[in-house]
Amino acid sequence: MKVKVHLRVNGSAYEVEIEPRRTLLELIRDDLELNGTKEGCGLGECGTCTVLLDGRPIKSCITLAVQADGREVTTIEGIEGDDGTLHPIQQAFIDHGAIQCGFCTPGMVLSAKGLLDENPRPTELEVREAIAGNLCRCTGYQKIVEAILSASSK
Amino acid sequence: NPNFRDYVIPGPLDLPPIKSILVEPVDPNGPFGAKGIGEPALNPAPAAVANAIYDALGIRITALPITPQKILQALKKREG
Repeated sequence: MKVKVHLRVNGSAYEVEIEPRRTLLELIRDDLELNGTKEGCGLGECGTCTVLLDGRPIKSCITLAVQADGREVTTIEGIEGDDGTLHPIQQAFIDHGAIQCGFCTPGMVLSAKGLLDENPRPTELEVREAIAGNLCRCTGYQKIVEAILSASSK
Repeated sequence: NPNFRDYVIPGPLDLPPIKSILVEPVDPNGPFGAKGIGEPALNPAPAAVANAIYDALGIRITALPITPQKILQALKKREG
């Protein structure tokens, strides 16, 4: 038994027919083939599945696709400029050496965007709290925090 | 515990600020002046923890793992 879901992803409108139990992550990766969003644990613990839902960071692996009906999803593919220029947060991650293996990076960048869109000048603690749901095994978070703080002053 | 809920790894709120320093002088003992970064980087950490425990409590634990049980036993032994 399938249901129709109407949603916007990265500014484009989609109408899909899916089983109600399908997760938003499955919709994004398998149906829409946007593979920047990752499945790290499937349990909502690691944050690599982070996307913005109406501008707020959520974990798409534990969100049903039907919950995005009538709403706006932003994935990592959706934040660069129309001419392909990187978003300032993406550029800051590169400039500050905040990327090693890169697996946590899309989730980190989107959590950071969710924070900075709401709180343009966060403290370091506020940055760490905003990315508290995003695990990183490589970097020890230092340069990620520095990158986000640097992007916040622009 | 094959999941992140039970195998807990440090998150952004768990780690202290980390400052990286590049040490460039040549190691006179190493081959061609090279310095090991595998075992030599790993070994001092438990020693530092053991030293911190000694600094805090005045007890010397000389075997890993350093467990709460070992610390409590050493404290009891010192009192007794």
